Amino acid sequence: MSKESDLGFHEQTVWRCSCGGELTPHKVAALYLGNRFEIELPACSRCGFILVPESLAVGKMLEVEKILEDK
Amino acid sequence: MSLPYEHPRWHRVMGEALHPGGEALSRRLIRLCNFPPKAKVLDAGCGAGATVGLLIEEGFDAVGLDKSYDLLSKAKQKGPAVHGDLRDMPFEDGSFDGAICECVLSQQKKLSPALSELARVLKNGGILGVTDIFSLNRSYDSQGWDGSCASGARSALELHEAFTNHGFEVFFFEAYPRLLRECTAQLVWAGIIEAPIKICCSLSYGLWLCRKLGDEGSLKERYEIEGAEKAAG
Repeated sequence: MSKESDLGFHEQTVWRCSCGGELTPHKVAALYLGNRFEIELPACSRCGFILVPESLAVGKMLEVEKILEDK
Repeated sequence: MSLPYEHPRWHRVMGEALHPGGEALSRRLIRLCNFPPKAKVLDAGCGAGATVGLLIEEGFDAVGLDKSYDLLSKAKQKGPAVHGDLRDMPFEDGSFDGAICECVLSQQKKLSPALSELARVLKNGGILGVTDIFSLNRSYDSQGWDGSCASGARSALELHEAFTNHGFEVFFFEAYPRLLRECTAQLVWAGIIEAPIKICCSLSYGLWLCRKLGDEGSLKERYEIEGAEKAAG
């Protein structure tokens, strides 16, 4: 995991993808209402599955949704 | 106190322009100002000089002014830029054909000193192009001012009155309701600012074009519009 990133998934994990592939950090972009949010997340190098940690989903992702949607 | 736009990651999120709308909105503002060819144009609060560069690219004789030495060093790579405060500009009266002021008035605790100076350094008939945050549902309260543009947001009416009271005639206004939300979301995502509670719902971003009035007065003063009373009544 990049030391520059202060967002998302920092913890070491022994989880593997359901396809058996290893999860490694990848730069990904989440698109929401036409806005692009870039972040580094664990992704399966075999099938492309991306793990979005719960802390991110109910934290920053929810915050930007609220801002953009006036929730 | 460091300025919010001096934050090392602000530039990464907002781009060189440092304000909502970025280069695209700066280009729109310059086009709408319709300065005469080779006009002498001041970018008041030029930041890192992105708009100074665009003005020079368009053939204008542009000068930037900013109080941040850090940003000024970057601005000087784009074109002429001098150190100074909006409230006390180091220029002679009537030095400029036009001026641009992007997301700077909202960082002023009081508008009057900055607008008086802008009126002073502009020639009569000169165009002032402004983009800034404005408040949708509340009046400005100087007690709550903390130096941030959100706390310095005036209502559209307050801004209109301030321009008028300082010898400007507002002849164009455009609002971009989504722009501020998108920009705020990116700043929150990058961890530069905390998620604002309800603030986003009460703020918007706008563009104003004003003309500095000379002795000729405003259009309203110069023309007697027949039938206006009938229309109003």
